[in-house]
Amino acid sequence: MRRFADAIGSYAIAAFAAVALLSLAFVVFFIVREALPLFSTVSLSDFLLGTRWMPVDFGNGTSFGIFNFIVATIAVSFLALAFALLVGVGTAVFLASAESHLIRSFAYPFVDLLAGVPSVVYGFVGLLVVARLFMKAGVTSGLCVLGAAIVLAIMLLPFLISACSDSLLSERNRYLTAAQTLGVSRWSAMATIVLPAATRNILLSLVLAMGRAMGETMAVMMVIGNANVFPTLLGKAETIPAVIALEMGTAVAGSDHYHALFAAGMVLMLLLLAINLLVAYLRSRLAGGSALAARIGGHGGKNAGVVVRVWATASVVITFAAIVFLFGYVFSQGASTISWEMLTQPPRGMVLGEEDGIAPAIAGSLAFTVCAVVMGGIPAIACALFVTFFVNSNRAAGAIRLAVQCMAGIPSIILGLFAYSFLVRDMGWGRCVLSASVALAVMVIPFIEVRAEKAFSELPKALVEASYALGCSRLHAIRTIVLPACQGELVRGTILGACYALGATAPLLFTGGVAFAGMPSSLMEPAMALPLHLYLLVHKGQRRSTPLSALPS
Amino acid sequence: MKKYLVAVLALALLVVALVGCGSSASSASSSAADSGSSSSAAASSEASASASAEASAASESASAASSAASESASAAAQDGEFKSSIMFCGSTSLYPIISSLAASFTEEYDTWDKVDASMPDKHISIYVAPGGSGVGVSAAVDGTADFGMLARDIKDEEKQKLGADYQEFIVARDALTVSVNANNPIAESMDNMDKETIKKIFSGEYTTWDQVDSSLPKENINVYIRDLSGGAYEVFQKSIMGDVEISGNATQSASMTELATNIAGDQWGIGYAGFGAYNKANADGKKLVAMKVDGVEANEENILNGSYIIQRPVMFVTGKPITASEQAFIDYIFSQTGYETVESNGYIPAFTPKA
Repeated sequence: MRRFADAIGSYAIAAFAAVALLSLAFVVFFIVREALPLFSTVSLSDFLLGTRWMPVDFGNGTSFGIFNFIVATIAVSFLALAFALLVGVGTAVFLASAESHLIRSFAYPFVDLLAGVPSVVYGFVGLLVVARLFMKAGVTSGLCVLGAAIVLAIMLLPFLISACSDSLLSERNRYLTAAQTLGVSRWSAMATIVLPAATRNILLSLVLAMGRAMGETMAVMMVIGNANVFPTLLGKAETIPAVIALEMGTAVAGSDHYHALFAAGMVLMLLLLAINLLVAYLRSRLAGGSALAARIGGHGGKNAGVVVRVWATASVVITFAAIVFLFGYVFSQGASTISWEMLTQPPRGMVLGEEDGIAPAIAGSLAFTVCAVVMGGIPAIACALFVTFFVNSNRAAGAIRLAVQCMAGIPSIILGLFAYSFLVRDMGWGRCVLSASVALAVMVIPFIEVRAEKAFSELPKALVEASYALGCSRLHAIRTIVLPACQGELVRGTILGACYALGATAPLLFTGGVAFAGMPSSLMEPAMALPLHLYLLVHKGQRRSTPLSALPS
Repeated sequence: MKKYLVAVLALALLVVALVGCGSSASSASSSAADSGSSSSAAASSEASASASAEASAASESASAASSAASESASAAAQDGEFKSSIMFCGSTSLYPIISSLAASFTEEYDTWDKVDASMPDKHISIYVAPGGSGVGVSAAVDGTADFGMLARDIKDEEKQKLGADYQEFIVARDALTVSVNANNPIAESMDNMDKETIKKIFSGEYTTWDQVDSSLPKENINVYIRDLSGGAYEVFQKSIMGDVEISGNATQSASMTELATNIAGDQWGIGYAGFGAYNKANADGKKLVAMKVDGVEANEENILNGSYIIQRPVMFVTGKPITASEQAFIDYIFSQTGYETVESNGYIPAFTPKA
């Protein structure tokens, strides 16, 4: 009997893990299938190198050239990554080198706060603060590539910092004490030993951040200006995710415009894949940070130490200033309008939104999030279990990890696109919470899976092996030892995933989010959502900020 | 490893069954049928049942779904199934008005039987999704919304796609003003622009203000437009630009209000702010100045009698026969409350309110 239950359990885990991986395959397959028909009317070179994008025929014919969009996407992402790398690695170095654990235990959650802020809020603050600064500096309307890069850089900071911190901390623990014993000062040691040793992992975190940067839709769209021109630093530009978000709803199903948008999404995904592979290749070349360490370590330890110290301190100051400013600004603007009424009443007023009420939006957001986490969390944890305990060959495990990494790189707008075309249209589900939740679930799966896998791999192997030796079946061991031991980490990962889903706007635009609805009553009806509500209010021009960031995190 | 291959295969089969299920049920199926088939499919994934059991379960639910679908289709035709939810989708100009009316309608009546005693005691659910006029038409055509909201004239092909039951309801009229910032010196020297000048400014032929009028300084002209999914884009293209394309340097805005705000914030800006957005922007002090177009001023009279050329209807359309509940809400839209709501949002009502 026990054997039977165990077998069912094992199948269940395998099945859910397969769901997670198949969803990636499904999304990719679907996007490619909808994109390919374009190339029967437009040639590949015209599409990739053309600069005229006129999808609707106003008398001069249609034209689909996405060159400017590709360049803009790459330009903004790289610029933002450069900024984020500079400030993020510096902050991570500072925090890793700090002597007291107290600073770290306070600082890391503080930085994680940034990760919980929805992208719409970033776009909103970007519009109000960054764009205004640029306007004062002379840029028309303040919307430009540089502004978008700055906003995007701040969005990337928490990812880079937490990803780098792990490796920097472990290298520090390994080398710092020994170095100090030999007379090397703390900062010199950080500069010449710890930092070079962690280079390889810093590159890896670069890849993760890259996916996030190139796929970011909302924040960039609100600050970049959206004009189909070749991007210049202080000029406007339009990124591929922005084109898709702005034009998806208009495209008639089956038309060239429709296929062109999918093709643009496909190009974006291919770009991401190419960059992923490039960085993986570079990483394998840099095998072992020691070679690099030896090279850098040779040049003047003391000076390097001073430079790194100044850089790290400045970075930390910038990071914390950004966090404090962001939260302070939103809270100070919104605090005056929060009232119990606002949180519990539906929106009303002749001009909607002028009188308070965001209760349906709160309820709707919760509905989306819970559905997404249930539908995404279970396959994610199952996938992590599968990779850690069921897979025997390293190559298979590596392949699964690569698949999950690719999933993390799919831009959220493309998931929204997939859900719209497949679930809303083809399957006939219509705009509803379920359609949107599937898109959100796919978005959340890699997020939770990576954290779950980390938790499982940190469990002492001896524990599990001892249980096998004592006659426990694999599933029994998982159920009674692994899961309870890791439950803290799993819960934390799920909550972070929930926050991520809570703040997502792009997937909701065409799938389940509406401008007005009553309290959500069923999964097959659409609902309001907080980030969407904020986005719509900003676009209506109402500057009254909603206390959005009070709710997640 | 073999066990897991079986599991994966079973799952793939399940997915195929799901897709097959969905496509057979997608034609005019009720939401109950959909959630029924998807939940039974999800449940069967957990069991370690053999592939044949899954397939038979899937085909069972498929036949159940298709019979339910045909049932609901005939039921809807016979008006047996009451429709307690209405879905509007489309124009960013109209959705605030419809949203606000939906909110007050729902608050006032709460359940359909309070609206009309012959209707059942079900909660009123009205959904309003934005996206732009183009989105509105697509949604009405492929049935993902009951009504598509448009802020432009409907095209003939679109009317045809909507079918024989096509109906349109014009709520308001909106005009596109050619507005400049109040601090632009042009506001003092000129109050009229002819069509040719406007064309040249928006196409990018004139790049600096001194080319428009030599008394103006040599500052860049910053053009603000709506994005492609907006009805305004097409209206402007048809009534002013004709065959000439708008400059690629123009800044796209996702809504009229954003457009107006952009011009208000930019001394050298010019754009086609909607009449409502224009009035709203000037509510606390003159921020935008509208140019006369070919000598005709943009005011209520000229818009209603058609002499101001850049204007558009703000309306919603449908291709399906209207149910009783939808008619009740439509009556509410065209009532005195609706009239006042349209006005407060800055548009010119295109109807006289019913008693």
